[in-house]
Amino acid sequence: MSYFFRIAAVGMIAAIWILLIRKQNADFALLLSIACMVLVLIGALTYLQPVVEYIHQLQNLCQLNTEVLAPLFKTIAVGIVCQIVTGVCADAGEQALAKTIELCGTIVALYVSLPLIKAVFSLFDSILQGG
Amino acid sequence: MDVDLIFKIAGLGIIISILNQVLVRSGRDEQATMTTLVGLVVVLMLVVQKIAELFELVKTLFEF
Repeated sequence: MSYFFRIAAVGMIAAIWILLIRKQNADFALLLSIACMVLVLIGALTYLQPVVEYIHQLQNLCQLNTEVLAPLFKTIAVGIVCQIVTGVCADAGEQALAKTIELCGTIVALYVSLPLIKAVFSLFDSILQGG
Repeated sequence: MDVDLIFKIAGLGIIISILNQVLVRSGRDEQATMTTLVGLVVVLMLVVQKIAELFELVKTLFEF
């Protein structure tokens, strides 16, 4: 829990540094904000590790197939990366690039979840054929 | 958490902006541009390593 307060403090300090540097050279300010963002996320994702392990435990308990959960995890990964990159592009003033990457992330998420959608429809098909 | 990186980048930014000002005032515009460029590349190398680390972490965590 103390990690969160450290993040809050680091965020405030980084914001002040960025304000200070932006007047002189804006590119350094952008790099500093990216560095701060990446550091915070690396820390936060290590805390997500036990959660993912617990989900795997639950999966083993329910004897659920790995293919069911894999698209979920992949979509989360695509979402996280997409969110970060979109934020950076928007900060750099490239709104069009940000929108394109967002669209790209959506398409990739759809592609990643395609096997799951296929499985659901084949299940429907088998139920309807059986009935 | 590696907070040193933030201070490193901020310090480099301030030093390079001061160097830039000094070089521009003494009439060496080309050297000022080169200094800014080199500083930017150095910081970019630092940040890119961290970004790669983050993406690797995301990939291993979510079994991509």
